[in-house]
Amino acid sequence: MGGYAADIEAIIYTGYTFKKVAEDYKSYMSPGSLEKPSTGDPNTDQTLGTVLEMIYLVHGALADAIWQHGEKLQLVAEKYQEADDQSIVSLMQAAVTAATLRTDLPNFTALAEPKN
Amino acid sequence: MRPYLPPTWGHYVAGDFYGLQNLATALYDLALKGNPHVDQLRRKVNELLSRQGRVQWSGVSAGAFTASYGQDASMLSALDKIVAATAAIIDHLAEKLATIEHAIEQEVSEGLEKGYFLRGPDWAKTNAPRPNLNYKGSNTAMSQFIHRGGQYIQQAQEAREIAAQELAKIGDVLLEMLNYYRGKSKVGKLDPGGLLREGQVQWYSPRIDELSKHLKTEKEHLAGMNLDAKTVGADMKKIGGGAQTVGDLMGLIEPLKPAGETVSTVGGVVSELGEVTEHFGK
Repeated sequence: MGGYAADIEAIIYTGYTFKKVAEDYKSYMSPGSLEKPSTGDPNTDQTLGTVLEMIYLVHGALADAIWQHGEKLQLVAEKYQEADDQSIVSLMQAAVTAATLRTDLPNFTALAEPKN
Repeated sequence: MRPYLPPTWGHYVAGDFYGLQNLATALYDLALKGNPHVDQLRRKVNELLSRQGRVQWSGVSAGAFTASYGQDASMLSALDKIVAATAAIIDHLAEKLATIEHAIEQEVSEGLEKGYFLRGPDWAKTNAPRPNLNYKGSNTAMSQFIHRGGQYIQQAQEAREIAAQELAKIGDVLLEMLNYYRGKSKVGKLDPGGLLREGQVQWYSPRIDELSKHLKTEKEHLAGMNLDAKTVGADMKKIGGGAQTVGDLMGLIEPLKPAGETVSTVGGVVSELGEVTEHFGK
């Protein structure tokens, strides 16, 4: 059995920091916040517009992913708390489940599988 | 040092040079604003994983989190760099267009001062001069001006097309980053389900598809131009090595340090990005 340890309070606080950073980061850009001045050529204008919209989307996706990490940290902390009174085995299972939750959380399956 | 835009008045060259420069400023600001967060998050994770005198978070979930966080740190840093590179392309275009405009204006001003040009009938609207027929050689001067003016306008168009090519390269990297977040990246399989919630993927996907289509059309159009990769590459080097704007700013932006050990997948996106941004290096 591999070792584990956790400062639940610190994990919750770090999760909070992640969420706060994500919110701040996302607020730096709102839809249409980047103006699209004319370059003098409609085709170049279009390419510029596409790139600006892509920057807007990547910025948003990144902020969302950071937020998810914050939430995930808090979920991991909850799992640790729930597992406090349980056996070592179930505590490990709780940690692995938290780390591999699908849909809500990044999928860590490939990384989180215990090495034999 | 940002490029200097000379004051202009003639509107001979189409385009909003000052608006482009303002956009570049907004993008530089965005890139630099994101920068401290890379360090803030990395510091927080490091604290969590190596707390002095307190319990250190370790185990499978801690390892998984560290590896995944490494992706975000790299992506955040990478996006800052790509935004700064976009800003530099736009800044460089604004400078080129304003410089061409300034050169045309200088010729008109000189003609008016020396007396071989007069303000034309539509001067208020077009700023177009006309030859002063009382001045010997004014017709020749006018023909030469029109000829050179045509060359200037052509240079301006070429500058726009080069910028479009450079922006399209940036677009390719951004598209790869977007696909990464919806789990469709060519470069890895770390997150087959994607990093976003299902609802978010559904929100982002049609928008990504739409932009992907736009980029494809624009690249097809650019492929029909006579610009070779060498011309574009040389121009990109000029942006970094000449004005040094990107090089200087890149130095201020957090380097792509992996926070976890397993960042090889995102490394694919980042190295593709590196290929683009390295063109701008000093």
